[in-house]
Amino acid sequence: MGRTIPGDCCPRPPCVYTTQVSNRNDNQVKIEIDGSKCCCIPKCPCESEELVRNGSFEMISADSTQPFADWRTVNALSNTIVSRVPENMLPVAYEGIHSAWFITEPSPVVEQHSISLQQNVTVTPGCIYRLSFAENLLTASDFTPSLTGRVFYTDAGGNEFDLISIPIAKDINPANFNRGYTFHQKTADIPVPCDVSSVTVQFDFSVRDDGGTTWLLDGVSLRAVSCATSCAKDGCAVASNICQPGNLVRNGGFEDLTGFQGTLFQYWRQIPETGDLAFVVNESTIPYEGFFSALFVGNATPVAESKTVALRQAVPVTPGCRLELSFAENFVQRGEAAGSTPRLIARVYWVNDSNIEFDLIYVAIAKIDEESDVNKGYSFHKKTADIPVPCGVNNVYVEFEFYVTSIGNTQWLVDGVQLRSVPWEPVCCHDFKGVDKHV
Amino acid sequence: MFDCQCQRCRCETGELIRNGNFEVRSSEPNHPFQFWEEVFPSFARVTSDPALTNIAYEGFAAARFNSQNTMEELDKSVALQQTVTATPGCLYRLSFAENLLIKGNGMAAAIPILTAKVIYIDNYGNAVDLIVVPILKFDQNRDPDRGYVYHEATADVPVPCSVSELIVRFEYFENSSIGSAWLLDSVSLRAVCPTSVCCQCDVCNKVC
Repeated sequence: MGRTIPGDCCPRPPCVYTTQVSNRNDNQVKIEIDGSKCCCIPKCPCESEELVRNGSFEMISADSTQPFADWRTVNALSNTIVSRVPENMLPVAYEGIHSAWFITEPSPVVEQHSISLQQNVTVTPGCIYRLSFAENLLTASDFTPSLTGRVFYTDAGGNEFDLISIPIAKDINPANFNRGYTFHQKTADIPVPCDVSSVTVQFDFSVRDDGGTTWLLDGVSLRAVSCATSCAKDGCAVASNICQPGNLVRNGGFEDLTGFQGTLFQYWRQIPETGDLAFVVNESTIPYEGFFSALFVGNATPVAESKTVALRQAVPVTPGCRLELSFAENFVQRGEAAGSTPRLIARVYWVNDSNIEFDLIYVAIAKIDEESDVNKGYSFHKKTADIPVPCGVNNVYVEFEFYVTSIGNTQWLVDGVQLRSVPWEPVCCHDFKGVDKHV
Repeated sequence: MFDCQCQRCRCETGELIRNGNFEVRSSEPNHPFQFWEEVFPSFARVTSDPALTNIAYEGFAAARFNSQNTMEELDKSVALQQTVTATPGCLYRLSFAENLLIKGNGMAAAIPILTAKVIYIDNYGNAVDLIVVPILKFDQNRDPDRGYVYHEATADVPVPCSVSELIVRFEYFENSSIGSAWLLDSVSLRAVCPTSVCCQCDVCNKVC
């Protein structure tokens, strides 16, 4: 039995009051249900505070074998260390003063170097968590260094299960190092299992070289994105009817190259499907995460021409949920004699029966400056819709449109596309039964 | 945390910051951009000159903190702030992007600092920090002109039940002779959870 609050579509339970019928008999109570009042049910909360301790690496460890308080290094191989800023170097921090420096020290031959930095964190079963961090590959000397941020739990048998994994690998390409910090963020697609109350936040660094690789890590954060747990607990209500924050975009990392009908990328459609002036190809030397990214190209032409191409994906969504789009972009090359400012527009929109498009999220990026906009590494973007997906709309489009008028070759990378629902209750009540939605 | 959906118990679903992309300039004194106030300038200013602010993170413009060149090394500072209306009991997340374009210098090698803050004023007139994000740039070779970097910070505690106004402030400081230039863009403040912790059953019922 539920009721609808005026001006509010979702049903709230009615207030139930119990009063004693007789002072002489404690066992007899009168139960009154007041359907005119909504009743507040305390929910079992997830943490509102930061879970990672010393995520900015500002505090050194009292243990001389460890570089930072609350963190420990494990599985070190071949003179690979994690340290504070080395002597004779200045700090290079994302926030605060210090950061964690993953360093391969010189060795006589090329060999495999690796080390992990980890911290155990207490979590609330049934909550959904988000990992964030910033990294900056300062120097690299050989092969492809990799840094993977992970959140995993360990079962009774010692098996590790990843909740979040953010793999970063960078080729020895000048565009990949000393480009400043790049921000990364990923939300677990599933909540922490109900029998798990501890996870490990770990960063695995690895490279095959003879020393000279330096990779900085800073601003590590793990926070609950769900406000209440989905696991039953005594004395409070579980979160049941919330929008699920799993990534709705398929192949948002552009790793699956088995697409067809005009695009390399599975699940994505290039618009127009063919064209020599502008197109989208896979790029493997400057990825944001994983191994590939999508490269939007405005091809060189004898005269300045308008060049435009888009990448689009249809995404099923839950009506009534608000959406959050995130991605990373890297403007790598400006075509000379540009007749217009190169633009990249990221949109999330839905289309009505009359084929009219309605934007839910709109992010416009323009590269106006001649020098200071080009080849500066990836920038992370995140935008949350102010309004929910309308009730009755089950599909939206995620689209990246590239546009330039130029003679020369213009190139813009996109990677790490995520579209997630904000884990609040949906404003549409289609899942409820026995409630008059028209009250 | 209560499962109230009454209007008074709800946190905002929309953006709280107005003109967070600095696309709209202002001609009002001490307001380089609409809704943003420049405060405490001392040998440094916030400029909205289109020719200096067209290196944008999103859109076409950004805010630019500029410190003046001086003969001597001096403390140089300025802040840019906006007051927003918030819901008591809600938890908020601040995000923004910054880009140290030029790093100044001096005998002691200037260390420009940009500190993002969300504060409220308590009953005694004291500023209380809800969010503080300090960004310091030490290295002339590895810090400036590296493009925009995104930052995000969530308060650990909600807005007190007696507070309904927050100040989002960016404080710029350095001690230098040759001044720095620092770009700021896409400032956002949003509620993290749907329900205010100040929501009480009786409040909720009265509203309903």
